[in-house]
Parts: sequence; C-alpha cells; structure tokens
Amino acid sequence: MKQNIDLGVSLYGFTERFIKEDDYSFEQMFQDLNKLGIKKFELVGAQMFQNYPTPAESEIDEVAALAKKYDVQPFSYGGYVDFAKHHDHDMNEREILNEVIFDLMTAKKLGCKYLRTSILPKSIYPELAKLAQYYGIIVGCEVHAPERPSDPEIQELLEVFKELNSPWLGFVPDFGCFIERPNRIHIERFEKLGAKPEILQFIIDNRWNGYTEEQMAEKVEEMGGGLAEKMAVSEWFGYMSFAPADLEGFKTILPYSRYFHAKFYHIEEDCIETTIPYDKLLRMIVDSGFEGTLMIEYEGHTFYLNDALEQIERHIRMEKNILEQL
Amino acid sequence: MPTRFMKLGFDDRVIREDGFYNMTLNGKTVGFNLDLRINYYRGLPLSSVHQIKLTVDGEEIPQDLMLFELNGKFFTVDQLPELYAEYWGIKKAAHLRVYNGGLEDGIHDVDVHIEYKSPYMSFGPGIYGMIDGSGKKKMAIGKAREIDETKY
Repeated sequence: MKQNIDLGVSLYGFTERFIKEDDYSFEQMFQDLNKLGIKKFELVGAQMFQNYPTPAESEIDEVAALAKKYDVQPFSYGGYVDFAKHHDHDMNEREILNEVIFDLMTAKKLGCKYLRTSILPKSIYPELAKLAQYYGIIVGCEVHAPERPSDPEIQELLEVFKELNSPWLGFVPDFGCFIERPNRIHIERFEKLGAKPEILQFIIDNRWNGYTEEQMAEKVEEMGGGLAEKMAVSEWFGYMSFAPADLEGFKTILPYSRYFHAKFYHIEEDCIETTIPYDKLLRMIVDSGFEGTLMIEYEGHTFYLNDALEQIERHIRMEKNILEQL
Repeated sequence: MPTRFMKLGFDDRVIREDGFYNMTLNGKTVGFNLDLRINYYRGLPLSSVHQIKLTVDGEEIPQDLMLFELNGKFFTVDQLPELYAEYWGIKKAAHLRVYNGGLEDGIHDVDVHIEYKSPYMSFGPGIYGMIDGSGKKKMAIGKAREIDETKY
C-alpha cells in the first residue's frame, strides 16, 4: 500500500439496509466498518440525520458516543443545498451560503476535517473560503456524473480555486464521472423491468453518436421501447452516464482535489473493476503526490441489492491490489 | 429531458400495517391513523410535499378530514408547502390522522398518492426533479387506539 494514502468508507454505501430496516442505524453501520477494518467514514446529513440541516444535539451526541465505542472517526460530512425548499422562490446566493454554514457547523460538531458540497455559485467562494478557515473545515465541491472534469463549469471553478489559492477549498472528484460502460447488473435490471436487450444495446452503442437525450428517447419509442427502455435512456444520459474516461480533465483538477469519492456500483468475485479505470485513476493520484483519503462510496443499492459489505470488501481488495503495485 | 418523476424501489415502506389503526376518542371511534414514510434515499423538508391523495376502498378521502403529524406537531395538508424548516427524516414515520369516523374491521385497499419535489435536484430556475412517493397495499386495520394514548 502506498504510504500516505488511506481508505475510508462512506456510510451512504449502507443505504439499502439503512432505509429498509428500522433497526439498522449508526451502531450497526459502525459494526460493519469494524468488519471491514475501516476507521474513517463519511456521513451524509440529509440521509442519516432525522433533522437537517440542523441535526438535534442528541443525534450528534449519539454519533460521537458510538464512534468512540467502535473506534471509528467521522472524516467528512456530506452536505446538500436544498435550494428549492422554499415554496415561493429558489434560494438566492445569501441563502445558499447560509445552508453551507449550517453544514460547516455540523461538520465541526462531528469533528470532521472535510465538508463535501455540491457545486455552488462561483461568487460565493471568496466568502466561503473565509468561513471554511474560521471553522477549520476544508470544503470540497463534488464533481459528479454526468459532469466531467473537462466541462466548462468545472474548469471555470478550477480558475476560481487557482485565483483564491485557498487551502480551505477544492474538489472532491467522484469516480462515477469516469464510468466507461454500463455494468452487467445495470443492464440486467432494465431487462428485468421488461426492456428488450437489443434496444438496450442500441442505446449503449449509440450513446455518443450525436443523439440528445430527447432524440434517443424518441428513437427508443420508435423501436418499440417502453418505460424500462426510457428509464435506461434517462439514467445513461444522466447520473449513470458513461464515456471514455476524461483523464485529461482529471489531471487538471488533481492539484486542487482534497479527497476522492471512490465510487463503484458492482464488482465481481475476482475483485476486478470493469467499468471505471481505477488502475489509471489511482496511478494519476499517486503520481500527483496526493496524500490523503480515498473515500469509498458504494452505490449498488441503486439496484436494490443487499450486498454492501461483500461488495465493499471486494472493492477494498481491488484498491489495495492496485496501490500495492504502484 | 429531466427525469420528471423518479420512483425509487423503497415503496413497500410507504404504508405499513403496523401504522394502520382506528382511533378512538373517549372510547368512540372517530377516525383512523395511517403512518407514512418516504420512498426516497434521504429525508426531505416538509415543504417538498406537493400532493397527498388518499383513497381507501376506492373512495377518495377529502383533505379537510386529514391532519398530518410530524415531530410532535400537527399540520393541515395545505400548510405543508410552507414548512421548509420542518424536516421529515427518512427513518421517521409521519402520522396521517383521518377523522372520517373510522374504518370497519377487516382488510382495506389503501392507496396513497404522494408527490415530492427533490429540493436539491435542479434542472433550471424553478425546475426540479420530482419524486413519486406513492404506496398501495391491502391491509388489515389494526386494533383501535385511544388517540390520547397514542405514543409517537
């Protein structure tokens, strides 16, 4: 294992059990971290706290007490900006900044070193840099599929970070940006919902042949596709988009990346990741001189599989295998 | 084309038999309670709730017979859009009290149509992702509970 790079696990990976089982909560998740031999974790406030953006003191205290009991550490806090929570307007920049401050407060109470946020309006970053410093929390903006590091929006944000040159701001690249092809489980899920395999194959083969999402949806309808095929279009043009990995773009944001979301959806028994080029990504991270944490984020619950522990175990083995060879 | 309506696969939790029972007041049946849970992966500000339409045995229940209880507070369904600071946690059941005189013993066809907006999923100014939070089940009505003794 490379020195100065370690692995954490996002509790978000335990979504399936957390949502479905009344009795599966922080204590059970921390027990699972123990089984995985993982110390650092990320906590997603809007999911895991029952009050958000201001969790009850009792909720924070519970996490703190259980983290101590199971010897695990809150590393990063996953925040949201619910910009549409007011019925009569979308939040203005002042209101957005307030939401981030609420998350900074919680991150501090939890003892997290990092707050992960969505991408915010550029004009608030100078003030956010100051606030992050006051709180002593590094704020990382997640770069998440279907966005890719080369997208103009991300490159503009990179310029903002270069200009501010603040150690308190940066990116959290999510490796879901680098999915190169859909995985078997995902295709099978649409088939189970009634999608025709040949239509799914058509969408995959023609994802980058000039179709917009609307055009592809129309084409799929012409071909006799129904709701399941349309869902596939929506997901494969959306948060489960795939394309040749944008490694050049990744290189540009690497110097400003504070930690990483090591996203994955499914890995077979052989512990080889077949949809995201982890070998290349990890090599680039090591070569950049990065020292810090790869936060593993399992998202196979998208397919409602109750296999987080087994999947994360395999993924850890995969990452360690790669890092040991570098 | 933003996903106008997402429906996640946690719909089995939306309504459950353990949260479906008649309510009595001073021993007289006045209505029934239906626990509601969110079919999403995270909690939501109550202002995200756009619509609640409840149908029991094919008959729609008028909204003015309903009270929505969460975090120990009662609201009318009409008030929900304004409640941006009231959070509906994903583990928390809201209690929908329906003052319709109660339901007969036995199995009922319960169908609740719920729409939420995803408060963070932006597809442009004023446009956000929508979530179908509906649930549908045949359930036996539970033993009546005196509402003053109902433990939340």
